[in-house]
Amino acid sequence: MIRTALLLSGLLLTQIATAAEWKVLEPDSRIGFVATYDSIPFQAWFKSYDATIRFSPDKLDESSFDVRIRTASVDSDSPDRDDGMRQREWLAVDKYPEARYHAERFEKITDNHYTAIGKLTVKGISRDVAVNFEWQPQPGGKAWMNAQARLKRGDFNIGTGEWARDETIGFDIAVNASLELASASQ
Amino acid sequence: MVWSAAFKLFHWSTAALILGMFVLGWVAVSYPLSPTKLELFKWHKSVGLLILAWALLRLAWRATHRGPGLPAAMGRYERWAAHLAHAFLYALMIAMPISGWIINSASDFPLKWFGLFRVPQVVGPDKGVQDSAELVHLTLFWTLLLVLVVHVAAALRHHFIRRNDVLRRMLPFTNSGKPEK
Repeated sequence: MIRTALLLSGLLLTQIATAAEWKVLEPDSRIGFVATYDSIPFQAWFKSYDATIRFSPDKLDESSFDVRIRTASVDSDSPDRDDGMRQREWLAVDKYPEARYHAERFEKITDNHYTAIGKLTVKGISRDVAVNFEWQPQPGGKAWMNAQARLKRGDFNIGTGEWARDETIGFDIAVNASLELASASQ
Repeated sequence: MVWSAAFKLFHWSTAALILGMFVLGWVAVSYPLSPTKLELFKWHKSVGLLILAWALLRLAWRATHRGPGLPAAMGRYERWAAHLAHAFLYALMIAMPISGWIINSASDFPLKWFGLFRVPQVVGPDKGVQDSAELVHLTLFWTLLLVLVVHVAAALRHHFIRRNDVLRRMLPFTNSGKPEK
């Protein structure tokens, strides 16, 4: 009896201590990046991903992001270019079907603006990446999040061999995400 | 009477550009995906648009300047065939680059003309449009090749069989002003 009560209160405490969990509302959410071709930017989106978002502005210590992206789902509105990006020299989707971002450190910048510091793993290479994001609570237990991060593609061996120069495809990659979230805590 | 220097410049520069395009196009298509392939395509696309602009300029020039005209000895059907072939060549010099421009736009690859300025997209990204335009581009290529063979054969026929000055008067270094006797 006492044990059960302890266990229950323990569970309850865990519930309280943990930041709110959010579910991604897919139709209005996007994760992708902007790269450049001949110094002209183009946008690509990943059509398939899973994002586990635990975030409460007042519980940054308990917050966490875990985003898994199916690299083969890359879509830049150009099947030719997308096929190219799936190849070994670029995202190598056969060998590395998933890219992952995992963050457990958060810092508040200003009201509604935060930075997550986590590990981005692409093509088996993990590096610390800071993601700046805006967090806007919405009515009806929803929230909207807009995030950016800057990468150098060479840091993750994206574009190897002849592509390791930036004559056609630039080195800078701007990752961007816009997520419509619904509270999953109720 | 021979063709003026401007007409000759239009003719031979276009001939050189088109031959270069055949080579560039085939090499670019068959090259494995690499920066070199993209580079080849950039050149192919830039030269293609140059040919388009050049052809339009040339049509304007033709409309305002007289050429030497066809030899008087040519028959009605020969004249008709010559005009048809030339009309085909002009149409292809315009249609071929436009179909390529559509491929480039539909496949959503940005293009800077010889690296200088960005060329606008003529259609939005669309795989279906891209596939159709590629088929058109390839068909026009074979058509152009065929018409060019006819064009060259006709010029050689005029020179070696009919023994008139049709070929000579378009050659780069024939003396203008002096009519052939």
